[in-house]
Amino acid sequence: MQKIETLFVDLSNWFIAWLQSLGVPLAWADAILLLIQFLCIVGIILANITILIWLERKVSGFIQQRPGPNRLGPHGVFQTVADALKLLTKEDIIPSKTDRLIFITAPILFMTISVMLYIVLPMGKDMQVVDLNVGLFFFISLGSLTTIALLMGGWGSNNKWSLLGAMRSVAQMISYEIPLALSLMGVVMITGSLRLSDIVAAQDNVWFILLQPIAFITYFIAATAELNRGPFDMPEAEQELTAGAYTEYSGMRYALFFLAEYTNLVAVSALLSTLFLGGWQGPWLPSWLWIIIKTYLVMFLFMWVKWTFPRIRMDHLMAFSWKVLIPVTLVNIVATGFGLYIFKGIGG
Amino acid sequence: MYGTGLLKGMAITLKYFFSKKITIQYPEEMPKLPERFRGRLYIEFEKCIACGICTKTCPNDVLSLEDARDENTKKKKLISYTIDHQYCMFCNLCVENCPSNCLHFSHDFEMSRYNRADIKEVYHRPPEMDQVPAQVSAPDSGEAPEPSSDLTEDALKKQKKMEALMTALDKNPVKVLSRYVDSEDDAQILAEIIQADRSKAEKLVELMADDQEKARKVAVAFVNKEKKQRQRQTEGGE
Repeated sequence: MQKIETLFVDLSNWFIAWLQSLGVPLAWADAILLLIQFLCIVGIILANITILIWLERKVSGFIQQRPGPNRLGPHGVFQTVADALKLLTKEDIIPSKTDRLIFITAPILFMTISVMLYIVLPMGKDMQVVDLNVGLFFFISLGSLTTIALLMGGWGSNNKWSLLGAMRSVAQMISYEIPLALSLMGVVMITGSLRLSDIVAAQDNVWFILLQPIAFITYFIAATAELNRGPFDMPEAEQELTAGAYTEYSGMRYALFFLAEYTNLVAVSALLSTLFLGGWQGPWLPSWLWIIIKTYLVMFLFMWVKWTFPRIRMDHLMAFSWKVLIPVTLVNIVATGFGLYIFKGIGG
Repeated sequence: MYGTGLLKGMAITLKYFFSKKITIQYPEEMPKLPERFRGRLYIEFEKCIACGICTKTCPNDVLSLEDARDENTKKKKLISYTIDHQYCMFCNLCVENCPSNCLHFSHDFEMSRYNRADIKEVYHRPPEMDQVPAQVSAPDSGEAPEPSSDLTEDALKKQKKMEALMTALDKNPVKVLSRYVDSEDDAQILAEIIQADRSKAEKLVELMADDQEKARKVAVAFVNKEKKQRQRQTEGGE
């Protein structure tokens, strides 16, 4: 049991020791390990996205009382692979009047930012690529950077629909950035740290979803909007708009945007389970399995919400953020502050 | 209270998530079609009287037929029937107007083909419908029957036909004979006669291969004779 728990940590330690036995200096060995860790993250992301897109289609099907993809492989598990192969083989079209550099870099930037989110996520006990002391801040700030990539895509396409779609998503994402960050303040106040490993450690006895239920709900709503997922998927709105900022994109470039959104979904779900559901802590099973289970449960919640509620209207969307979510999160912060003050008064 | 509606919606979708899936998995599972579903049009060739009403009533010229006069009975008979499915709009006019109720819509809806030519369906007159080669009346059909110049070939054909009929008669006499007499009971009696007397069987088969009508008459005569005999026997017994 102990072996399985520390499997990946042991592997990396053994790898460093092996490199050093070959005469590689420690700094170099660490750098090589970092590279391998990066590759592992990319592997995790790709594997998760493949499962996730299949899962999304399955869940949407099940909710609509149909079986979802079921042609390729058992229960259609290879459907995403087939889709990815199809997108890879498509002709790479760049419209002639585009701002080429911005047009090409936008999806790459989007994907890069999404991958960078994984650096600070604790994926198990002592399993974190970098344990930043401002880990949460890093995550939030990087997450808001995706707005720029989206705007680049809309601007670079040189198409009014793309630009309008991008403007809408920027307006939405910036509005929801505020309640997103504010709802996490409660957790930070209780823990007294922005370091994600500290936050997980602080949930040793009780998960923060019990201490901060309102923050959990507001963060969930804000994250849904931030991820451009239904019922807040105004930027894309498949049934109403063409594809928002992605209108001019096709083939693998479009797929990159698509993949990046799912990469973000996994990252946000992992963060949600880290902040509110006790992270990798759990009985019996190894820690890295716990975080996977919790992440997938949260992702199921995201899908469940997406396929249940109808799309919200644009003005309601903005009004909801400014008139409901932000006041609620502010009140939550004040209440948390009072609670902490009273709790400390009693305790100390 | 705010949010109860949302929770209700989530409860409904969760219920659907675990409920039985209602879609029909088509290639593996065929859809349950209503009784009067209009699928591929087909004709019961034996029942058709070659009146041609269907071809006249079809608004899209889907249907066409080729007919001929029977030499002996002077009746019209169907030689071939063509349904060009690609133009059919399933309007039901031909089915409604068919006086002998031989046109029907089937439940077959898988009508796609690789070639346009394959969509057209041609029904030919089955050879067992008339053992005597039919005289085609339509001169423009281009398939004028060959005159019986080659006697040896005709004789050979007849020989083969007789052999086939004989084996069929040995295998299932009632079924073969029921075509020549009025009822199954009569066919049963005839079968018994033939089994008792081989020469009678050979005579009948020769007639069958040569002239249907004559064979029919002879068969009926055989049956009547046998019936009378049996009646006499039962009377005598009493």
